[in-house]
Amino acid sequence: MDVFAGATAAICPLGDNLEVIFEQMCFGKSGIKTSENCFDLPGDHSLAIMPPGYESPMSKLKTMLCRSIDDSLLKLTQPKLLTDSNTQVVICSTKGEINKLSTKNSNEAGLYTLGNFVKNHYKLAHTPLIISNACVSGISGIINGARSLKSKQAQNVLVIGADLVSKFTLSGFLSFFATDEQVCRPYDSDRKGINLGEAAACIWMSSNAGIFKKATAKYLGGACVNDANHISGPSRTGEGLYRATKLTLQEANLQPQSIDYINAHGTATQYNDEMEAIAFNRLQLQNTPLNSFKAYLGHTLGAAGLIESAIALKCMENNTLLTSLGFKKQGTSQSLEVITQTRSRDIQTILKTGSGFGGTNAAVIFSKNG
Amino acid sequence: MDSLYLQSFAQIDAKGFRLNGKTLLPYHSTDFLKKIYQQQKLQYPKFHKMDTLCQMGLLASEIILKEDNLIESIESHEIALLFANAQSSLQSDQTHILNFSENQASPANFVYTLPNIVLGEICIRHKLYSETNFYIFENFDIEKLLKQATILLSTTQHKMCLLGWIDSIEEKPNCHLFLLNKTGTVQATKKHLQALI
Repeated sequence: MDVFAGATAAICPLGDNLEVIFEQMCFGKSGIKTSENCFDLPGDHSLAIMPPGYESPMSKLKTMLCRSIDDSLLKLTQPKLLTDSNTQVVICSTKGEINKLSTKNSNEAGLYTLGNFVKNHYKLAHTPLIISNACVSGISGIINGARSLKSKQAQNVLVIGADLVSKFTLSGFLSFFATDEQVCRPYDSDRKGINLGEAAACIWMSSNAGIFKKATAKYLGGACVNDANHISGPSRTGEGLYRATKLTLQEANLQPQSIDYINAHGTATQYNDEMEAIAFNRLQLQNTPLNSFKAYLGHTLGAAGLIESAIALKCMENNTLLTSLGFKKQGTSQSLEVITQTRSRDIQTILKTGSGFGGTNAAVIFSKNG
Repeated sequence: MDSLYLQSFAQIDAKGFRLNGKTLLPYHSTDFLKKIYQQQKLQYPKFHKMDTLCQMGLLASEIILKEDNLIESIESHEIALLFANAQSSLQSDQTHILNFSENQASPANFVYTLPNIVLGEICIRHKLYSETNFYIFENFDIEKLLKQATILLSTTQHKMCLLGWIDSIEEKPNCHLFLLNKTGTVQATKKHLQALI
């Protein structure tokens, strides 16, 4: 069965819709800003945070979710599909509205409240499926969605990802010494760590290309594999990412050389980027053009897999390779074909990967439709 | 695929620590998880660093995977892990809030503020290179869990799935893990699993 993907939408500090975000990225713009003492945490912090104006009448995360969903509906031939009983919604998030959690109040912050909100707001036929798989949540959502279609549990799937920057997450990553005070530098020899970012993004998937005004891509396969190494450190051999990508290539029935472009995780931590370089070399993907979007968007945690896939699909549609912002000099022990200049190139097939705490690794492959 | 089969199950809740319905240790309101650890003569110092969610998951999966040396007889990529709960990592989240309000965020606690960490802990313990997914449901819903397991086993190469509900409410454990197989004799129906809880 063919699985089509399209009607992508996103909102992040670079713009209120995916088209603006993509245009800004083509100009080499980053949504990350450096400022002092954010959330009363001392020091300089580089973060991709939405400008003011999204907090009412709904909370910021809900506003972002709705704007991204509303925008995606405009790209369907029948926006009513959202409430169809054959449509399944999947929501991917690590912490949802964690900013509402206090030691006394846990009711409003529960991740399932996001699902209930989307169900009630849009009058969905079913409760959304919520996935919380650390930083691969978004890719897990795409994979879970595609499998719902393949096993005929649904005919259409809307996968949504959303996460905020909060004192909760920033203080945690600061305690790990895993952040860069400046804009992050994925794969670079001077990389110092991540910048957090916030975003919401959507991808529709369906067995019927007719639901899309423009069915831009086909989903060819995806896999998620644990690396069984350490809860907060990636495997030194890249075992999980290696296996996830290998399974994905198998499902897609493709050889590594058929991949035209890789949008990798590239968090700009020492260990993550090194692990990816090892895994991609083991997979014979070291000469495939690769980038990370983290220096444009920050690390948007549970939303990362979705917003980055949505932008990578845009790159495929426009035959554009975006420069891997922040990269100057190779900083991994094995080489990668990191893109250093935004340029045109025919792209037929893309690989999107991610890795996260808890040892999760995931990969998906999309190809151009038609 | 029409149906899945129940191979074995383990539970840690107010009724005690149970394997396939048989009580191995009655519930005790203080240090219950530690008591299970001691009773099972587990030697795994990492256990003591884990939060409640991970300790529960580790203990319940241990007894299932070690039964009849199951873990020795299967390949490391054959068992997928699908867990769900309602509260995510609430206990560790609240500890982290207390910590950072006193400017003392701790990485040792922060890493547990993700619900899927328990899956990572189990994979590390048993060297499982398989798929791990954590879902959030408002309520313990066997039917929804079974649906995810069925989709996973019918669309991937995994042969088995460790399916679980794992939550702790007001420090009371509520952990039910079911080992499901593509073949077997006892059908894993909603009704059957519901009766075991």
